[in-house]
Amino acid sequence: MKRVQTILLGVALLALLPLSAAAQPPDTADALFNDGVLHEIRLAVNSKDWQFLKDHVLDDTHYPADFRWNDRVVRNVSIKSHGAGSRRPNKPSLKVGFNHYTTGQTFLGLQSILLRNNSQDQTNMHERLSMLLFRRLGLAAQREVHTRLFVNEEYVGLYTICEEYDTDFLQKNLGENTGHLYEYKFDDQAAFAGQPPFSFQYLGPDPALYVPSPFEPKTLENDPQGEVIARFVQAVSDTGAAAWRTMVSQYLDLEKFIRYLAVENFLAEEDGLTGDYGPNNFYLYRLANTTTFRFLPWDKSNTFWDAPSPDYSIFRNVQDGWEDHRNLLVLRAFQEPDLLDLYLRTLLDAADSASSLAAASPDDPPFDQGWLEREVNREYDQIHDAALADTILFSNDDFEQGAAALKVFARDRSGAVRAQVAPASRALDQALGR
Amino acid sequence: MCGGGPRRLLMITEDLASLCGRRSWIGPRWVVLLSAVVWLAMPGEPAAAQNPSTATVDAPADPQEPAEEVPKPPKEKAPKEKTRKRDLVRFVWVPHPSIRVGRQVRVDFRSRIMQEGNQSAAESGDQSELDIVKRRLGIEGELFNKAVAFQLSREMGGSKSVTTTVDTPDTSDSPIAAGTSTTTVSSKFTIEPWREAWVGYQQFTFARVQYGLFKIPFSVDENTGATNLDFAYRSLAASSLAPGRDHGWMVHGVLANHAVGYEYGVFDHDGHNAHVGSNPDRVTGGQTKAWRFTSQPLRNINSKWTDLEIGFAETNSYLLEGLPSLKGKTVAGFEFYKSHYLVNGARHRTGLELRFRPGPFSLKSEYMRVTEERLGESVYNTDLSPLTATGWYVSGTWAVTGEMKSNGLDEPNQPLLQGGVGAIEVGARVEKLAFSSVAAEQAPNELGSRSVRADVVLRNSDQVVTYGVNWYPNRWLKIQLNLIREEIADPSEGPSPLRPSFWSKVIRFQMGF
Repeated sequence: MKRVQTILLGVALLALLPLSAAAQPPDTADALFNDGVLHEIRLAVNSKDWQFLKDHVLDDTHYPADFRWNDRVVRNVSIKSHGAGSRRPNKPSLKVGFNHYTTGQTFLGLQSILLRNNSQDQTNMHERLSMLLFRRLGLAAQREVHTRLFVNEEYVGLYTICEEYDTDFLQKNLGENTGHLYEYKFDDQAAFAGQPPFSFQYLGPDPALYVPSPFEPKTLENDPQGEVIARFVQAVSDTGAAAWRTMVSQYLDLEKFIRYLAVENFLAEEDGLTGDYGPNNFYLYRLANTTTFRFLPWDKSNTFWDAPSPDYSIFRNVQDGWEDHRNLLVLRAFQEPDLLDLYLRTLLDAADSASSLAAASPDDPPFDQGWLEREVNREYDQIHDAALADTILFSNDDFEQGAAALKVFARDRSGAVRAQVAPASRALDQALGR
Repeated sequence: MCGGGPRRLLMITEDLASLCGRRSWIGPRWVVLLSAVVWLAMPGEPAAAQNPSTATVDAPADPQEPAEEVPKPPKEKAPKEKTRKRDLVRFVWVPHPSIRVGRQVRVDFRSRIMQEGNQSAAESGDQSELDIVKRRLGIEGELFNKAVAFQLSREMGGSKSVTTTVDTPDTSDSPIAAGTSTTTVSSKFTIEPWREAWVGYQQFTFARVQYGLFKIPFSVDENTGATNLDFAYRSLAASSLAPGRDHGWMVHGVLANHAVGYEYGVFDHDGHNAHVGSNPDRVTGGQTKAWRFTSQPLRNINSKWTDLEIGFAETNSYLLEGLPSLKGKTVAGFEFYKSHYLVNGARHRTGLELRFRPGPFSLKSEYMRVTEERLGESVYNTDLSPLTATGWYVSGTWAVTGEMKSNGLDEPNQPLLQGGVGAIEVGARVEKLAFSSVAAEQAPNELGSRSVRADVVLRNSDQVVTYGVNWYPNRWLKIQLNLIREEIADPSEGPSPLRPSFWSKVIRFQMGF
């Protein structure tokens, strides 16, 4: 009898093992996104394909390649030129698809990654620093690390490995992945033609006015449900409605949105939700079986704008800038005092986080530099040699000057933001009679 | 249809009556055909002329057609010919309308009308075809006391829609979409309308020369005339892997009292079955050299094995860099292997064939393999293992009404309305067509890839079983009913991603002289 009990206990324990493992699956991609090292990726691409890709860098054609990271090789991956205004023929950004040609093939659990050329950032650090701060403040954002990239054994340059927004990312960060994911695509041609950008103004009820442009479906492409976006935008743009808050809340967690906006503007993002050219650089995810959208940050190469100056306005393109470029959602949200208050408080949270001297553990002495400044220095040291060896887009002087400016910004930005928040908070308190 | 172009299947209903009833627009054609059946079956001059002394009736259109090689036993009754015997120029009605000028000139007029319908349970793809009509007209003959032979035949009219696949740049992020779009266009013919256009010098049986447009000597099934097929469609191997027709010249002959045959030819390209159409990304072989060796080793021995014939054939051509023209298509014409792998180098075909027709039975089998080199096509600029396409079939038939298969069933022992029901034959064929690469064959458990430069490609195959009944009411008519079951190994690449197997039904009427 005792033996039976032992066997049953053993069986029960064995049955529980997979459950506990499933409850907290290890992220096999952690090794790739280990930011403690400078990675090295080697691609083998048929020389004709590589030349053709560079010659037609504006095309989105996939080309086959073998991918090597450390001692791991993934065969038959696809690479394609990636980006909008950042495409460069001599240093193309690349999307690497592990399952494009081979159904079910992944690399460390990833379906694809981006190799970003940072062509608009002479420091190569804006993206990585920005996404890190988003995550540090509890907002979902892609992981990024630096890598040397070799193609056919030739050094192509210093790149950033970017985690893709896909079903894997959604599952890991939002706990589900069966909703609708869209990439917002800025209409460059309309901008060049002098037309006002999409600023969350209502374009009409036709789903085709929203999907696939400017909202390009990334999941459920065959059922993009643009009509939900239409209703969302309709609610946003009805700015005079007494029930605006209630209506918009059906589609958006406004508190999370405001926190997102605050982090972005702390980072002096010149091409984001309240960018100089109109709203840009975000993904939109509608949670499964709901009408609730979430914003995800994208392409932060234009953060740290005007560095070393830390004075980028926290109300840029809200209180200034071209009127038809202003984000209606932000403008109307700031008319809600509690949301404006949340925005200011989140800016202070970001400032505190960026300037934090706290050590990794209570037993260690505090640092003498804030977190963001330390992070800039750490990344600078990590990529320095690789950046200097990469003079395709920027000279060594460009890199050094940019990095120096970034260090100053990192050191001074928190104080500058606090200085801007203080009068805004006072004005808000006065308006509310607090 | 018969030359290896996309074989479009047509929808039919389960029975002819319901078909005519529901689709009145095609009804009249069937009525015409049925009327023709009855008319031709009536006793009268044409019927009385059904036992000609000439060697063959409804001789196959193709010069290498095996049926021509086997002399038929003499018939008891001489044909009634409409001739004016004292004239130098004679017009003869049987076995075909023919003009003869002494012994120097013989010109036969040939015609064939084929109507076909089918229904496929494949869920997607182009099934819109409800009716295929082919009308072929031709002349053939011999000059200078049979020293010179010629043949000219052409498809006349008939319209059908043809599915054309266009390779577009692979820009979609969807893994499944990797690189094709399919466009349906309207076209009169799947391939060029000329079927045969050649002239030959054949004074000596051991060495004949032929020049023009005709079938490349490869595969007994491909070289069997459309009117003499045991099933409505040729085997997948023959229609997909054998080259088919092309322009060129050929030396051929028979030796050792017809026990050994040989053919060697040089052709402009790699045959119509491998044609590329207007797709600029697809490539096919350039100048193609082909040879075929056949033997009836027991021909000179008086036994039931006399008819046994075996053969071996090869073709060689060279492919420029591009996507290969050989694709995997189901019997219904749906792609199951898109062949999106770059090739560069030699295309090599090998074929083995066997045919045996004892009495009312027949057994036929072939094995074919095509390899296509991929020189310098890997991501490392090195060679990839060759692409492979392998096909085989085994088929058997039985003439229930007792006709000798080697004589052909187009002359029934007892034609319809003349004391009999015509000739009836049943048959079955098992076949398989598989696409892969040498590396994929050597590593059967390794995951295949759609990458154009993959060494281990995404394999796929179609295994087919065909059950058929052929009815020859008289010498003019042939009706075929086929029931076809196909099974795709990787249905995600086939017409019905969620359904690996499906049935198709085919009915075909042929009328000709």
